[in-house]
Amino acid sequence: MNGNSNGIPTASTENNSQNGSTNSDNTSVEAYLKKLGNALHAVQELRWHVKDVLNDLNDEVLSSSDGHNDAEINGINALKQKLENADTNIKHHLKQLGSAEFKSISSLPSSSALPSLLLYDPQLEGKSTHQDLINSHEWNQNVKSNSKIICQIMEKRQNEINFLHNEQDELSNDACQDANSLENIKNDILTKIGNSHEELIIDSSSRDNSLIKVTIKNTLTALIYVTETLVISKVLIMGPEELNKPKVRTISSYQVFKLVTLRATAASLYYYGNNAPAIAFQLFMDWLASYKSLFNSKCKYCNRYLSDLHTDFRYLPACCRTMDKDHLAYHYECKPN
Amino acid sequence: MGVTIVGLCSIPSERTSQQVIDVLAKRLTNLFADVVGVWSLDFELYQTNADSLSNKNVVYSLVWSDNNAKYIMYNKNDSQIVPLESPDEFTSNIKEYTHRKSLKVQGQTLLLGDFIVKLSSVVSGHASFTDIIIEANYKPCGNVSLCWNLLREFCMMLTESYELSLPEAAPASISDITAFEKSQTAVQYADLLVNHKKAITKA
Repeated sequence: MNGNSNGIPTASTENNSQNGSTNSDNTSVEAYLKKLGNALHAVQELRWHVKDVLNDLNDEVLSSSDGHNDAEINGINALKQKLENADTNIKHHLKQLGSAEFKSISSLPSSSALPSLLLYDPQLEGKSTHQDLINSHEWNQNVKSNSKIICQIMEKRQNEINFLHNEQDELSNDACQDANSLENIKNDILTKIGNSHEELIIDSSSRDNSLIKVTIKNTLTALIYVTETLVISKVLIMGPEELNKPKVRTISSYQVFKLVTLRATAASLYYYGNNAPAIAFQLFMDWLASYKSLFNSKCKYCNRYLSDLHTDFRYLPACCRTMDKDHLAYHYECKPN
Repeated sequence: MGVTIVGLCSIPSERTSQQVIDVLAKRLTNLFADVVGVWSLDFELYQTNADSLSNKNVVYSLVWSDNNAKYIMYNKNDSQIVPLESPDEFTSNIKEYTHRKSLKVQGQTLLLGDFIVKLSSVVSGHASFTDIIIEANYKPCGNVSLCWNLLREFCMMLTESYELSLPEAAPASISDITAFEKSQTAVQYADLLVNHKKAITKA
């Protein structure tokens, strides 16, 4: 904001915007400027009229120089002199107005800018001083309003940034809380299952909390790998004594536990495909607990302990358990589709 | 380790024990069983001398050839055969005992899935028993009460055309234990070899 084309500074507008000046100051400035403009316009008009009269008198004197007597000519010349004196006085007064300081009103531009405006003859230069003042004033108002809008926009942006930062902090806090809540849910489910199935021995004290060891006494041991969101990623079924072997995390060496591992993987996919993770986890653990009768349960279809068909699953016990609540035992070839 | 059941399969009169063993082995190999080796068991019966102060009248000694396991058994309460708590008690006082009988159990070992099957005949000097011994070991399970019926069914399925004598329930000395031990197999062998009524055929 360096002022308009006439070099009138507009520093006051900054003060007004910074101090939050009210619209009343702007209105008074505008009113004063209007009055001044009107006064100047009136003075100029008066000067024009004086000049017009002077010119008419000159023309009259020249055109009727032969018919007039000396007294008339003297009178016209005297009138002409008075008009010239009036014109000079008006000029003088305008100069005085230009040199005067307007200290009482701080919002007005400095007086150094006024002489050029007051002495400025719009008739000679073809421009309207008043209109320039109005234009500059309007320009200043536009700048002020635009600066206000810009300030509002910047405040809005800053608020949005602050909101996003706060939201990010809340999300990270929520994530921590969600992780803790999922861990609590997992522990609750394991406690509940341990209480409902006494034959299960559950050990979830692994380093990264992703491995759960479930042991059915004298029957099998299940290594269940669980993600943070309670989703089972891998299940390994093996004999209880196989945990002491060097390569523990590999598949079991017994045929029966290999088949049970396959069935456990299928069960996890079935339960997690139809239920929420927490519910699916609990259903899977209930299903796994049904294998306490792996070696001493007959097949519901053929009523035998061992499958005797000449297939890959020959002479294996009833390794399949249905996915419903009953968890009925079947041989692989005897299980219902 | 697993649980082991030992049973006695009767041989038809028109066949020999070796023929029956070959038939059973053929059945297993047709089911893609693998012959992993041969084995033998030396069974000896000792009786205390008249002037012995030992309260253990009869002592049995069983020695396996495949793992060199040795077990000393005795009759407890005249009906139950149990292992000696301290085998050194017998070996240090062996002079007080008289060797009465020796039997040798020998045959082949086959592997079928999770089962280890031993088909063997019993030889006493130049005579052999008319029955063959079938031993089935189920490796995945270590609890007797859980898989005893499963083992019975397996032996019956294997010897479906022959008369098989299997204990209905696990012997009292091993039914109340949680983990099956090798000595319990020796108990079953001793019980079988001592109590079974044999018919001796000339070689």
